Amino acid sequence: MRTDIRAILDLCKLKILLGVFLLCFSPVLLADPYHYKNVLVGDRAATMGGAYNAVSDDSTGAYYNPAGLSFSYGDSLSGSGNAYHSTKTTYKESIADKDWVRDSTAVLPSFFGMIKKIGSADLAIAYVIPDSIIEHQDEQYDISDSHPTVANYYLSLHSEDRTNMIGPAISFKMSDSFSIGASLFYSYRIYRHQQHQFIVYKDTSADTSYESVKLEEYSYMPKIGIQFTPFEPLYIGLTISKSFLLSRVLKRDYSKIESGDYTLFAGAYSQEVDYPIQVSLGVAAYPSPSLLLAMDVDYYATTDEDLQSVTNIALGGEWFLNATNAIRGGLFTNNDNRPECTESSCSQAKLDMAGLTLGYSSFTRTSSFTLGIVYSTGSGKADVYGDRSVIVDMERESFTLLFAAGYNY
Amino acid sequence: MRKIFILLFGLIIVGFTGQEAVVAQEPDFRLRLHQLDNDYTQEDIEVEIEFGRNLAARILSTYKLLDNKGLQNYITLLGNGIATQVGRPELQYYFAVIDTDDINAYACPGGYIFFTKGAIKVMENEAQLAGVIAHEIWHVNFRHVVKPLKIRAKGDSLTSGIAAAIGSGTATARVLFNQLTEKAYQLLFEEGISREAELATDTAAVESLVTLGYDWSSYRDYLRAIESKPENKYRKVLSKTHPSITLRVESINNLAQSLNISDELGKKNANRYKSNTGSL
Repeated sequence: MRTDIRAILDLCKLKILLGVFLLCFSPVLLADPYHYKNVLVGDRAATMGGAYNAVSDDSTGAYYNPAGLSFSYGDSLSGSGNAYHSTKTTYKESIADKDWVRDSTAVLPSFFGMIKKIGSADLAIAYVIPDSIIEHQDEQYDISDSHPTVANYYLSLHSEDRTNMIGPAISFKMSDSFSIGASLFYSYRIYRHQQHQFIVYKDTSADTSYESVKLEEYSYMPKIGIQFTPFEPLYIGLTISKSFLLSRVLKRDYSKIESGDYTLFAGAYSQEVDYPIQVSLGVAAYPSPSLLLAMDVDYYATTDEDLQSVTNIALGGEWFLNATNAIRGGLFTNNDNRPECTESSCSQAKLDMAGLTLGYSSFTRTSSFTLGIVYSTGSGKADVYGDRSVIVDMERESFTLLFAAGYNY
Repeated sequence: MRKIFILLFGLIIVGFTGQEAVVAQEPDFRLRLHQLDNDYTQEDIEVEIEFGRNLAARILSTYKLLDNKGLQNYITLLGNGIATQVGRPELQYYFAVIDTDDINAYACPGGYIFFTKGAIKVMENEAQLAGVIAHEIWHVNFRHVVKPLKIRAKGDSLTSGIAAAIGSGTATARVLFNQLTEKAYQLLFEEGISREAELATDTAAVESLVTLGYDWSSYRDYLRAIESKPENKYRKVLSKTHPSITLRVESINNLAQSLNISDELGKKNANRYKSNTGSL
């Protein structure tokens, strides 16, 4: 998974040559394959903290647990748009004595899906964006008071990272208490990054660098799921999934002027990735038509020697105030799959996150409208320069305002 | 790993090909408050009645009413008596026997209920007929045709907002309305409703018999009597649209056990039944 990072980290040697600050892992930091729940998918599911494996009875079931489609209420269409999705990452005192703050904002549709009942089968097709970041930054740092040789540091960058998944799902109800389903998602990830850095020294000389990175990744992800009830009103969901790489190509162009000498570089790398196996277990209790409680445990088992297996937990609840209004809430973790970051060993950073969700839905006979917020935060350590010379504290906050609509027909 | 997934998908696909079709129907406890669908307006009920009348007309375009005034009166009297106890108060129920040897009964929305001559011939007493009447009334009460077809006065879709279709008189609206009627006909005669819904209706019918003072076990005996008949064309629609009789009898026995009610509890009125149906 991290071969692209290794390639980019070569750039960090510049820092040694220049003896100044070039924040060299920025191209990969926002392309975040280290967390698995950066965007909670769906409307009802997202506002329940993503605790949806044992529910999954709408078109988002294609993503969470296709077996849940058997319990959907008629044919339906649903879609969700994140009105506003922002991420703010702060690296404490990483540019001399100043914080480096990276903001990302994006407006994106995170989900669209539909279900059609055909005979004994429930068919669905879903389009999912499980992760998306757009970052634009123009910053000037005056560090003349705190740095021995550098007066000013200019950083301009633009990053876009988006994963798109689309695929069909099918579910069969084998008995009153057991259903089985499968989905197959085709995934396309596109990551683009341009970064310009300009350093002005106290002796009025200057260095500059520019780099452009493009990563394209194609993969597919089969998912198999079951749902069953050991006793009413409890339901259990279980899924297993794994992505398989079709192709992944990283292209990088780099130019710099350093002490009057220039360097040009262009390269392309075809890479291999071994994605983790994801096993998810969900439990949902339906004590009354007004109340739903759910919990998911997601386990990601990796074989990548540089990464760790990760467990995430999500808790969610739904309460109907009456037949036309419902509120939801949830808690979830979004843990980092990298090992601890210390001065002796650090793989860029280590940042475990936790979040909460709140949502409100209004229903008519055949449609629903949902508003919700997802907030998550976490703190950890980061190796900003890629050589473990400076390990800094880092913090991240993520906020999503989502709206969604569903239609039963 | 890739091979494992391919193998698992293959096994599932192979498994599905031999799987008996089971109509997907969510258990009630998974339904959320907004899906319970209890907020029917007077306008909705009027549309249901109008729709049921059209569906009844569709049935009578295929099957003739049985030419037996005495039996029709008997069915009407008995049906209305039971409907006053267990039916929806806002509806006027209509009961009739159609002239076919098929063994079945049909409940249209709005309270239009038909029994086949073949079913009447299988029955041996009034308790059995009362059980079937109650069963059909509960289909209407539960809106087992209304809900899946979303028969509503106003809705967000073409098919659910049929008041406008009825009232508009345009050719397109009438075509839509007729298509919906045909769908309901298919539901009654071809597809059936879900197994869970049929079993719930049996439960309600047995409970009604106990409440009305009829012998509940006669209803179970009627089902057994059908089961003992040869699996011929006269049972074809019933078999196609209902769960197996074995399952229904088992469900009724479980209910009786849970209610702690004994067999032969209540009246059967065998003589009255025979005097009204003896001419068949």
